[in-house]
Amino acid sequence: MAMRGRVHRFGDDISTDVHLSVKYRPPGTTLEELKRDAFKEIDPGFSANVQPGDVVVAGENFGLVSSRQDAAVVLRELGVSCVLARSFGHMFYRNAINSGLPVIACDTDAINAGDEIEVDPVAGEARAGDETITFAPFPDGLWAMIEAGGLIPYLQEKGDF
Amino acid sequence: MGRTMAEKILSAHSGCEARAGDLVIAELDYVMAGDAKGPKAVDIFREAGFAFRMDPKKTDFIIDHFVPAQDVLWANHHKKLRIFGEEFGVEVFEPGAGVCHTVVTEEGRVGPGALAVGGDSHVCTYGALGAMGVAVESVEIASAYATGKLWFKTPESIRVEFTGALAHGVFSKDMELVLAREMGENGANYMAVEYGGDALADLSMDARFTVANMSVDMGAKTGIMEVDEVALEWARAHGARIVAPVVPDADAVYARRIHLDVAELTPVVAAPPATGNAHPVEEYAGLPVQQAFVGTCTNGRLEDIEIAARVVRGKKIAPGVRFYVAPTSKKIYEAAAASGAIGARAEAGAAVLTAACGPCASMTGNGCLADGERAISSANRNFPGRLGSKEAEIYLGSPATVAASAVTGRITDPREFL
Repeated sequence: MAMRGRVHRFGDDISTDVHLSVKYRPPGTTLEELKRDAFKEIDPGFSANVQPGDVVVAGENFGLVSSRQDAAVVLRELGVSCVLARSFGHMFYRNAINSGLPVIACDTDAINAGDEIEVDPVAGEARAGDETITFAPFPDGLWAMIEAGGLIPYLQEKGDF
Repeated sequence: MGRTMAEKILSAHSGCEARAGDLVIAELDYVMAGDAKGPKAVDIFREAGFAFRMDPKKTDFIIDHFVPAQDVLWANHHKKLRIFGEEFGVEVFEPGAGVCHTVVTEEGRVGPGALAVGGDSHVCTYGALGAMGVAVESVEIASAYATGKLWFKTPESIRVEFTGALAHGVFSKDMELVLAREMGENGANYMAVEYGGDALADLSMDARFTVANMSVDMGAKTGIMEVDEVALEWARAHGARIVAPVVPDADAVYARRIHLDVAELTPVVAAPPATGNAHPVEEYAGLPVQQAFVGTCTNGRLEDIEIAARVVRGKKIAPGVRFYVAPTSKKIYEAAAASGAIGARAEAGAAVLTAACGPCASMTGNGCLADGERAISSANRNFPGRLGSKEAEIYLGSPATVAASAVTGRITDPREFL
């Protein structure tokens, strides 16, 4: 279940307005259009460069402010395997896990852009170069939910937590 | 190592020892859904093909944001809630019953130690009763109907000690606006704010709800207050199920501690663009206002309505000012009518609105500001565009400050009116 990929590095306070600006999503915007424009304001090449399995790494307060669930869905659909940040906006955090996108709060200072990183969510461990970073592991039930694709598909399958 | 109130409540509801950072699956005592997130929750629930397996007495629909229904879209959304309510035995509080958080607390739906979720940012209001209220999305409400449970990340906590006694003309709203300033923008992001200190003992329950309510406006996941006999008595009087009053351990671990001597405070207003942009009212005194509003889940309870009535009694609202008052429940409306507070407002020239969210946010479809206008409000948020025009300004203050400003037509220190 470990995830492996290349790091896309962002700083602090990346709000959902930066990573999924409302000006790119008038009513009726398709998922493909949202994917194309993700992080456009701070990393115009992001959606072209991201590879399946890649990991987004950020500082404090990633996904601040908004409750828009699309912000998490877009990253998952672009193939991002997980997001590591020192802290998250709480609505983004919940939306991400409910959408099947693992988000992990941990010390990200030693992780750099372009690093190859391996993340084991159930062991609570990430390795990038010589660095090993630990975090609160996902309990089995919650990881099963991520693997099922999120809260609703998980409950459809299992009926209960 | 001791535990915070949030850690204790999540431990008690998940059957495991929940520490800050831990992910747990917990049993819910209550699920609040309104007309903002309820209709989508119903759609998700039906599309998923779920069975309704929670106790229907542990959830309600409270129609408060888009009332009276402003168009066919919202009328249909409201109808959808009524049909679902009928089918599964979920009570529906109709438009005019009140603002969701006031209704939930008045109806005794949550008591000390409870774990509640709801489809509105200010579910943390229940913290005044020592309950943990967390805002969730429609998808989570739908899954709660199916399971009665939800997953949580155990938050770190910030411990706030309020000490001293408030001076004349200074209210719990002023305390909380100053706290928001001290906390810094999103300073409590994803954390629980835990409130204690001897200043709380002097506060009525109405005043305490204001404090707990605004925790989310500092970025917090929830706000929880230590309960005393006043809170327990209030809970009993309103028929609340007292799950188990929770007391934090002396050696609990906090991310931060903040101490505020409330005796030093003077009335403040929060200027745009953030709730935490709070400064003494003198700094803005004299700025003309075109709209004043006393209401909302933050400051529309009986005490708030009566304080504002005391300010305006025997006076007239300034020409060019629209002064709206929205009691936050039918019961409060009736009590304020009986005490003369509503009459005093009406005589002064205020417009008394339905017991609902009203002009707190422009999405509710009423009370929008025009370009270049300025409002003073007892609500909780003042970012540009919240009340329509991005070229309008919203200042936040206590109900007394709002009412005094309505009388003069300018931002005004309420102390000269009390």
